[in-house]
Amino acid sequence: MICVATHYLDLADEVCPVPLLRVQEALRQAAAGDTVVARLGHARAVRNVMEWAEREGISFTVRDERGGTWQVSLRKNGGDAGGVRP
Amino acid sequence: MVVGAGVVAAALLLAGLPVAAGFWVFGFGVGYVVQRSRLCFVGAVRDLLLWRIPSLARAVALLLAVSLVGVAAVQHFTGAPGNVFPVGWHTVVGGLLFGLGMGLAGSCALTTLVRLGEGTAVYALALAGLVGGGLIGLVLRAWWTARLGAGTVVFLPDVLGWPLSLLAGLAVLGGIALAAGLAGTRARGRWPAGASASRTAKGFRAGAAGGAG
Repeated sequence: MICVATHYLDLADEVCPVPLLRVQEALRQAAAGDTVVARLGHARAVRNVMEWAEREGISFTVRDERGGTWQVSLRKNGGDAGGVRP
Repeated sequence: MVVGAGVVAAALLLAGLPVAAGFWVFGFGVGYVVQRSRLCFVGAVRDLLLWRIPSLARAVALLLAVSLVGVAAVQHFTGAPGNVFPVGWHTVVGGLLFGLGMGLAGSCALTTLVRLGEGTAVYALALAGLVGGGLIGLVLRAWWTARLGAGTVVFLPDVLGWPLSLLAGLAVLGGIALAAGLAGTRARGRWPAGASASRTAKGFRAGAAGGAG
């Protein structure tokens, strides 16, 4: 049976470098196919997550919540690659 | 907000304070660029060391290169005296102390203002520390100057000449930008890396990291 979970993190008031570290921690602990949704409150923190996820081949979407916060959803890739593009 | 800033600038002009109006407009413009560009001097070092993300390090190197040329041009052609301070062991100690503070706050003076303006309340503490530390430094400055003496003042153009010192500065910054980019490229696919990650890396690779927390 495939069980997919979504993990929510509110990191809007966190000081860098905490946001990306927490996202990485959550992805590490998530199961393949799970989604980690992080709410971020600083544009640079969003950039950090995007640049890192892009480099590691982790698929993600970013939603601008307008009020100075962003929601980044990252999906932990399945398979043996373990979220890392070969 | 732009309208509000314009109203204040107009009010300052009408009040017969053109210099203040100029500072106001300039400050507003700089603040806008700084916030939009997501520039961060702490991030430049931290992102590179922690995650091998090179974008900020390269941006800061580019910023310094542009300012280097600009400041050199102003100093060279107008003969404006540079504000050059003595260099010595205290420069290193001061730099480490300042860096420690920046690391703990997670921001330089620039990002402290930006994030406080964005509404992250905890940065009021960082700003209070910044202003408090600056005041203490100001009060104790004469005391330190008396104890450390005049020290050695090094102005590179006096030592190397203008062209060579400019070239050396640009070469160092270019080297930093290149090295940062290279580090970023080489880090691809290495995550999870580092001591704290190795504990869970095995479970992660197997795609069954649920129990490996």
